[in-house]
Amino acid sequence: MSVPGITNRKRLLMMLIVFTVVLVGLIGRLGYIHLIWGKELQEKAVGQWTRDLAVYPRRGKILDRNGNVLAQSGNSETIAARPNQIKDPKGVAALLAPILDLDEDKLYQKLSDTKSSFVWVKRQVSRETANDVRAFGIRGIDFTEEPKRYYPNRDLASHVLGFTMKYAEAEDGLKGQEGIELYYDKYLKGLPGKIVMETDAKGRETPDNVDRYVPPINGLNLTLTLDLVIQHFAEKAASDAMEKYQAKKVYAIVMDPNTGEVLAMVNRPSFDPNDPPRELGYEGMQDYIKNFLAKDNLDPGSTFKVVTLAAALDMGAMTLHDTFNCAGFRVFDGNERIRCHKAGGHGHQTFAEAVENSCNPAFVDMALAMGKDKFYNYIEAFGFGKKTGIDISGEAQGIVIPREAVKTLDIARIGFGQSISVTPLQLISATAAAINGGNLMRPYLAKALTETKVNEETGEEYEVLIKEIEPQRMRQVISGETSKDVAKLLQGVVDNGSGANAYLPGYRVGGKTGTAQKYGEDGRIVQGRHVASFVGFAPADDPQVIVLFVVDEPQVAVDFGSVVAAPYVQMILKDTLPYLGVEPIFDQETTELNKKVEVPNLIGKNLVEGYAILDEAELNYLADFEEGSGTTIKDQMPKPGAKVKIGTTVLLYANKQDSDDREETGEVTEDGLVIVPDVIEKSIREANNILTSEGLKLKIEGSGIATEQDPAAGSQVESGSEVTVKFAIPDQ
Amino acid sequence: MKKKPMDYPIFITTIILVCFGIVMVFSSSFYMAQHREEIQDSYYFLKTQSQWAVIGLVVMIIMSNFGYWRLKKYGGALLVLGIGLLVGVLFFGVNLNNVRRWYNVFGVSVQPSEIAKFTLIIYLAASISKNKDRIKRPIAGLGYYLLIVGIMAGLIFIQPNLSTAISFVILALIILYIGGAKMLHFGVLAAGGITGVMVLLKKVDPTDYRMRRYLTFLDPWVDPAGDGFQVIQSLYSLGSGGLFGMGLGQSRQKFLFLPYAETDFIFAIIGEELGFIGASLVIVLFLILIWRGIKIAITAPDLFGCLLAAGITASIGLQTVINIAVVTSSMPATGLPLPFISAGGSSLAFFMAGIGVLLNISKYCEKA
Repeated sequence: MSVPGITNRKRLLMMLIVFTVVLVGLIGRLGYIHLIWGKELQEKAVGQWTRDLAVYPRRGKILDRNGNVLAQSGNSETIAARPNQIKDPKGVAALLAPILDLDEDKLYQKLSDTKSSFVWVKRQVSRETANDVRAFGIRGIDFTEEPKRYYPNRDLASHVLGFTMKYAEAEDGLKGQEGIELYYDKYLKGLPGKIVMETDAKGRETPDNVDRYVPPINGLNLTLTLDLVIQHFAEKAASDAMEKYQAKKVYAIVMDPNTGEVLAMVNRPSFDPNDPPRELGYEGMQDYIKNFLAKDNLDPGSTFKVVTLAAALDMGAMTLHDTFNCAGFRVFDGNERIRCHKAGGHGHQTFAEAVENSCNPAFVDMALAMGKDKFYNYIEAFGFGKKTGIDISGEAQGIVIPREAVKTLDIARIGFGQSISVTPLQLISATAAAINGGNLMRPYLAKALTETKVNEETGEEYEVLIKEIEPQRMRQVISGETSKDVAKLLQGVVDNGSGANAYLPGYRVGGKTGTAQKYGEDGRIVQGRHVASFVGFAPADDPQVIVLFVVDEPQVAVDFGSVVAAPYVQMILKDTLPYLGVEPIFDQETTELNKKVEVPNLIGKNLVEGYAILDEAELNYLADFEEGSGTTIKDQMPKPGAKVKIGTTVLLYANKQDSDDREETGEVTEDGLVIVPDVIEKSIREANNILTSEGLKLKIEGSGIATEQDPAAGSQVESGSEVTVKFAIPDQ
Repeated sequence: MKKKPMDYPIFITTIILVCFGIVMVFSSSFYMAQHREEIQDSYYFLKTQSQWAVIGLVVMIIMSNFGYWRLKKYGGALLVLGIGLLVGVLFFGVNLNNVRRWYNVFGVSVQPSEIAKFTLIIYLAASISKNKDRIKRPIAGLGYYLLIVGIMAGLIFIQPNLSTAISFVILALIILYIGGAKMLHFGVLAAGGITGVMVLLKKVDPTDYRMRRYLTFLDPWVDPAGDGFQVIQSLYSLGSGGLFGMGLGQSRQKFLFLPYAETDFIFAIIGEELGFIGASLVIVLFLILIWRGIKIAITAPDLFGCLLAAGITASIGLQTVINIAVVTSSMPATGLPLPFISAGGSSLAFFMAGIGVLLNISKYCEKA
């Protein structure tokens, strides 16, 4: 039997040493992992041990300036499932699919996907449905409360409010997608709380888990500058205009000119933020949801003349005593020729008359008198070419030709509102600055942030003011004196000029019309498409409210701002002023302006004669033909004999066909005779309206419903003739 | 031969390790066992491990009373048995994903490589001790032994089970080294081996996925969801343990995050629950075992006992080192369990049988 030798023993010792060294080395490695690397490793490990169940915060309310709710959050129930805990997905799918109105096969696929630890079954179901499902007590079916946003006034101010993402995501709660909801998302959304749960690798709760609850912090409430009532007024006017003119778009804004607070903001077409038209896709949706007041660049046209006027007066390039001569066009720089909208020109005009007439050559003169740099200084000071800073995301900034590149012709055109692009918001802000004493105010929508707190003893909720947003004066643009003059001149536009349709008895209303051309995609003017606008304010001597009303592509032949937009500004002012406590004052000035005159008969006369007669009658005029003063007037609107207010614009047509398009009932024969309309079965008031609109007079006999008329319908009579109508009370 | 009491430190250390192993197997497996579809019994692994521990204890006591020298004459027969089992498993083994490593004996899975390992130890110890000078001969000695080892390792390799095959070869080399093979021959062998490896490495594309797999231990976060996954989870366990651990039974990683928590990666759970101190103590227990085992080999009354003790000790030590190195991301991942502690019945019984043999040898040692 051999015995272990010395070599064997030495080598055994060697083996012991090697094993010892290696194992001690591993202890060292272990020490490094446990003690030095450990913290970092543990942090990563903790991340996989826990699942957070988000607890939604309550999104803050959006209120109007008087505390009326515009947007608020409620909860709706959502049904979810944990597929790896569902024993019989087939049976569960068969059970739930009919109740939830889901496809059984699809539901089965969802529930049997054991790889996912969490799937939505159906979101935002009614409480009754949720309770029905809850009654089954199926293991692996979960219920969560999911917040939903409600807009109780539906499409009212929807473009301002915007909306939230379709579904609340656990991490974020409701998230703003558009409008105020997006802009003030970080204040409205609050901070989600969570339930921290220890789980195994498959997301199942571990046996010794104790849930940790971190309560959510609810969002702040946001009070807007909007006034629900004024918003209603503006909405009503916009809907009416949209329907009447079949326009592409209509938008209106009502603002406090002294503070920049937006009182109402309306866009048409509209949408219901409770259910935005997502089916149209992002691009398709824009036509409905975009707040064009802040995002559209448009050629302002004559409304921009307010800026030219204010600038020229403020820098002293012009005085109120200057006069203008208008021959219907202006030639400068040798061969550059700009036409006035009035064929034949306005002739010799005082400063005020030039403004009332909105005479293009006069404004060209003003712009050129200032010169490029001075005029541009004012354009910039009035805020054009820059965002107004309103709290709307994605505000456009208009297009102003760079100072270095602008030519004299451009300056001349900018003078009367062409060759410049502005947003409606810039236009109203600048106009407000021109008439409020000269201060450019930042227009704004958010007035205050408040937090809802709960009184711990009584359980009552109360509001705590967190932040109030003050009006922000950007700069003084023109002097207070100039501003007074501008307001006065603009009052003249309504009292005596193209703004007559905005006249409101008992109020001093100032304003300016605008009719801008539209450019096609090729950059060329598109014939027959216009943007009609009117900016009006009142009272002119102490402006309290300013309104801009824009109708994009009205589908009527007479699409001037004075005809299309001005009546709506009047409508809004008429509702808003008394609501704001501005009572009408019937003093001598306002009463005299209320005086009515009869529209003379101009049919058959030539243009020059017509103008003269209308001037005599203190009426304004607008012709659809420009050159050739010898052209015969074929038709007019209003008809001869109609009673209108001083300064009303009478439209003159050289072409009979045109007027037929315009007037549904009006019929005028070749030789200027009026065809008597049928008034049988009309009430006295209706009959009167129909006849006066044709320039005929009503002679009433009896009362009730019209039974006979003389002359009979269809007969041709002289304009201004009397029509005798017999009225009787029907037997029934 | 004079008989003395057995080596109590080894006996006690083994009992401690086995008992500790049962506790850790239960701690690391109960959640998994409860949720595994085909088990659904939290105590399943506690029960099986305890049963095997009892079987192991019986076998250990039997072997400690079975004169070790009697094994010497069965050396050749055992070798044939070992090789036979390795060949047989390729045909009759349980087929799992085209891998055949186990026999299913009345519902108990037995790894033939486990048995072959012990038959090789016994055969080598017997053969070398029969003729002390044979091993010094390059061809008929060392070459012959390496051929046998090569055949067995090759059979394991084609199961396929590369890591066990490699540990098999290393174990054989340790026994041959202790047995007195010439350093010159080892040198030549090493030179040949190194050249071979170099040639192989040159051929292997370093971007090859298998190659990358072997290297993920250097930075497991290169592929955290794939090859690096187990190692990362293992490191998370250890790192979470800190100095004192999260407390017995408090592991979070065992909630199905760490794969093979009750077998190959049980040491990570030990580190997580008992911290650096607990894990180090386990290593110290293994060191005691190795130290006592080598002491028995040195003081063995004959060369057969010496080599047998050395072989058994080396196999325990080797597997301990490899398992802990893998868990600490110090070498490429293999599938070797931690002796005495990892769940896995037959392995526990075989190691305890080995300890029984060691204890028997210790009774005949020259000096206590």
